[in-house]
Amino acid sequence: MEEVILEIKDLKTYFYSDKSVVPAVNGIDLLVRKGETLGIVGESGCGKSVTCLSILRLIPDPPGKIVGGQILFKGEDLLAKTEAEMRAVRGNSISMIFQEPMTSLNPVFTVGDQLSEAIRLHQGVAKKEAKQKAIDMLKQVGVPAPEQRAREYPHQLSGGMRQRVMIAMAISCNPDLLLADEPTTALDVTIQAQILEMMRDLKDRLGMAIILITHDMGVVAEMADQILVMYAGKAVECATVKTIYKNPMHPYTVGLLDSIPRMDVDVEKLHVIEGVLPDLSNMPEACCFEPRCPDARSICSQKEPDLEQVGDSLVRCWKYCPEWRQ
Amino acid sequence: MEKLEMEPLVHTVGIKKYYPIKRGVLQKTIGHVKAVDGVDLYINKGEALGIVGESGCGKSTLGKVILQLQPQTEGKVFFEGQDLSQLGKEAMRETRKKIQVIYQDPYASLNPRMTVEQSIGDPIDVFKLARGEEKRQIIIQLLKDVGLSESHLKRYPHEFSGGQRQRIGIARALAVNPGLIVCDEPVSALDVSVRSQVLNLLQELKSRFNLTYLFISHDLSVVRHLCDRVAVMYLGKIIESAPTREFFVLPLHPYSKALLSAVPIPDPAISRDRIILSGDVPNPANPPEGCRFHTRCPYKTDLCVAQEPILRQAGNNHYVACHEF
Amino acid sequence: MADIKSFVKFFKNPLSVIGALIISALVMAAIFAPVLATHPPNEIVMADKLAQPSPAHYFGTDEMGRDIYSRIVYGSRISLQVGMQVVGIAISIGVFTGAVSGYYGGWIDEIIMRITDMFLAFPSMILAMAIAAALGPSLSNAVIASSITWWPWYTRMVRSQILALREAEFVEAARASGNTMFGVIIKYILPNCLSPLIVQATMDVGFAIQLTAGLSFIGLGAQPPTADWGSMLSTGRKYMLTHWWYVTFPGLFIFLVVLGFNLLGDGLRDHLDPKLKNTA
Repeated sequence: MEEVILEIKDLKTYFYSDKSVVPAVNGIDLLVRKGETLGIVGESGCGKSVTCLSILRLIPDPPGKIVGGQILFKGEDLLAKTEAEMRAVRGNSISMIFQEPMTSLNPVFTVGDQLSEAIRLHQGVAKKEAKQKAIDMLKQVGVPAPEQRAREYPHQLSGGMRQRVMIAMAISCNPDLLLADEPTTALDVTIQAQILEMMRDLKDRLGMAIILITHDMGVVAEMADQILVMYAGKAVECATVKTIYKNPMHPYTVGLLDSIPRMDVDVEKLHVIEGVLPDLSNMPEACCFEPRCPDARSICSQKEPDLEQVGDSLVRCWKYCPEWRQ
Repeated sequence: MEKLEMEPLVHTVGIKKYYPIKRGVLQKTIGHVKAVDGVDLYINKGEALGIVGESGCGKSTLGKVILQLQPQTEGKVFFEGQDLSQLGKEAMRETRKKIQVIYQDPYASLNPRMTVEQSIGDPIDVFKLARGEEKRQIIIQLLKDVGLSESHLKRYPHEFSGGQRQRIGIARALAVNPGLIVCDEPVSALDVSVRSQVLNLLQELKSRFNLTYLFISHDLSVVRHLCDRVAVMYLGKIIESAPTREFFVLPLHPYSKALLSAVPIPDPAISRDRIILSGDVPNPANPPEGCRFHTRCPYKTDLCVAQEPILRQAGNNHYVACHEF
Repeated sequence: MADIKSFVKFFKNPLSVIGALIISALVMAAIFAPVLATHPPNEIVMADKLAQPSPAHYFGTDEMGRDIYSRIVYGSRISLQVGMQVVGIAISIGVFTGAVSGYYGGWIDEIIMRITDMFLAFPSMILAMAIAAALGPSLSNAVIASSITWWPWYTRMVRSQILALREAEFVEAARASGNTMFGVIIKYILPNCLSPLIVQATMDVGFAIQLTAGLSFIGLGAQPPTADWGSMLSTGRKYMLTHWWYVTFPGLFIFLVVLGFNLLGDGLRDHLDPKLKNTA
């Protein structure tokens, strides 16, 4: 087994407003090893992005606050670090890429300047060397004519190129962990294919771990080794990619996989998960999926199930507990 | 031009839509973005035609031209055999009743200051179809048709989730018994679990009311599920069109092949030979000479650079614009 | 929108409550002026001239023995009327020109915008003075002059709102469902410009009162013997050093009313636009 890069234990991140408390992340456990890709899937509001921001301690406070748990990065608890220590971690040993690269690039500097600035900041190399390294990085992420591109401004690049630049910036300091929050959602399929291909290639070459956040079950199937399915701030299922797709256990995972139209299977009518996403500020003390679950029994609305090992998967569902038969 | 087997509900001839690019103090036109650059298509009654393509290929603009929300630069749109550009203002307004639209963003496409009843009732008022209690009953029936209930009548859009709002948008489009509904990415903004609800609804309504859809989407799997026929656009042109089943089994154009192979399949057990296209979509203000796809095509020849291929029949109802055929 | 819950929320902000109280007091004073006033506003009693504030004359008397308190009470009618009229006229012109300008665009927009530029290029007081002087000194002319300096602000505001709304999908959807241009503007665009308009109008009533009081102060507005706060201030100026109450009370009331409308406007803004409240 490879070395563990990141381990999260019972992470809780809440958002406070004058009226209510929104438990955006409410007890997440996960583990990422070196060279491994963990895919976090779920729908909007399930807490996947908040988990990511919590790792970097970038939750806007107020209104947000990490109220519990541990985030162990190579054995050190990130939640115990000072802000100055965190700055040394961010963009250095953990970096992040976002869905919309345009908003994370500064429009008034050339991409070459921004890249070499990031390299200088974290590695303390001379200006000239940083510039050369920036061009190397652009070449690594498959930007054609990198010398020329380095002199261009973000708005002169296409969406796919910008995302490549963002990735170049993110990996320029050889991070141990790359957090990718919906990196290809804003891109077209043919460009998405390019970017995913490049990310796979980079991961193999640099041996970093990746946490890939997405709502696209197809993208995780291609990219991830492990998958964590989130629903309403909680992990509902966690297993290897093969296990999840072959033998999904949680009714939500099953429903999710069945409800997407597929290129390889014909169905007359799509499977539907009835109902709507729950209101996070008003969650019952029970299974969060119970109101929409086709298999729900009385126990589901009374007590919340724990995340339990069932076969090769971790599942949060009463179906697989001894109490189910009573 | 594509051959017509029967009188189609809609057909277009050589639709072009250019947007001028203006620069400088005097706002001089220095060029044109050729969003749609010569599109011929037809949609039969009761059919769902899927238009697929990547962002900037002109598929949404094409939809707006067919809706006559944007005037075309050139070409003609025929609806039930009638040239829409020949219609007077009043006649055009009457025709709008028959062509409705469903938008991508359910948060932006409803007036935030109108209740559900007012929103759905507005087209009924505009065309003076019903009043008072009769109108109310029609609205209630529409709400039921799209899976909402009478209790929602007096609520405002912000009280609904994305999927519910999309249902309201659909009810509004249905209110005037349209012949054609242009669906502009109707499920792209929705969450996965809600998406399938709305897709099923669209499918059910289509067969129940014998609706005709022009279904614009970048998501091939959605189009495959819902549409009878597919047309692929690239840089303002249709480069291939075929019945859905045939298209997804045997795409002919190299771009279609690449597009299909790029869609991730949610099954790690399936491994595919992926065609990864190099480079980006060229600027539609200045599309490449010859075949528009030649800058990214893995099979390009000298002919492709020199001459633009036309849409040719390559099978039953299957048309492709590529020199290889 | 205007349900009870949000109504309660509006009154949770103490500043908006103060604003609302001042304005309702003003409205009450205007309505019940004959009841509240202790003397007829224009009753001249030379024997009592320039009397100090006392139980007989709460705010004292002026140089002709008129009761300042009663004149202020009656003056509230004029102030309120003037403020409403100015804002009313300005909004009518502004909404119309702004809607035309924003929705149709092109050369009409160009012309309207250049005209507003011309008006906005002058300081509003100077422009109002020039117009009022040209029309001749009277209260209604002061109202017209103030309105003329005011409408371009509304034009600009409505135009920018409409430019943003014109591209909104629900507006296109309204066109697609067969609405005429007029129908789109009336049913879809204007209701969505309403909240900022209401806020601006509320604040502007205060400023309009101030501007017309200013015109009256320099003799271009209400003419004697009308009980107008601005002209009271103007004549009182001569007695400022010897009889403090003459200028103090009209001045204080102008201040209070402008403050009241501002607080109310601020409160309404927070209330009608929750987005702004969260970012502030």
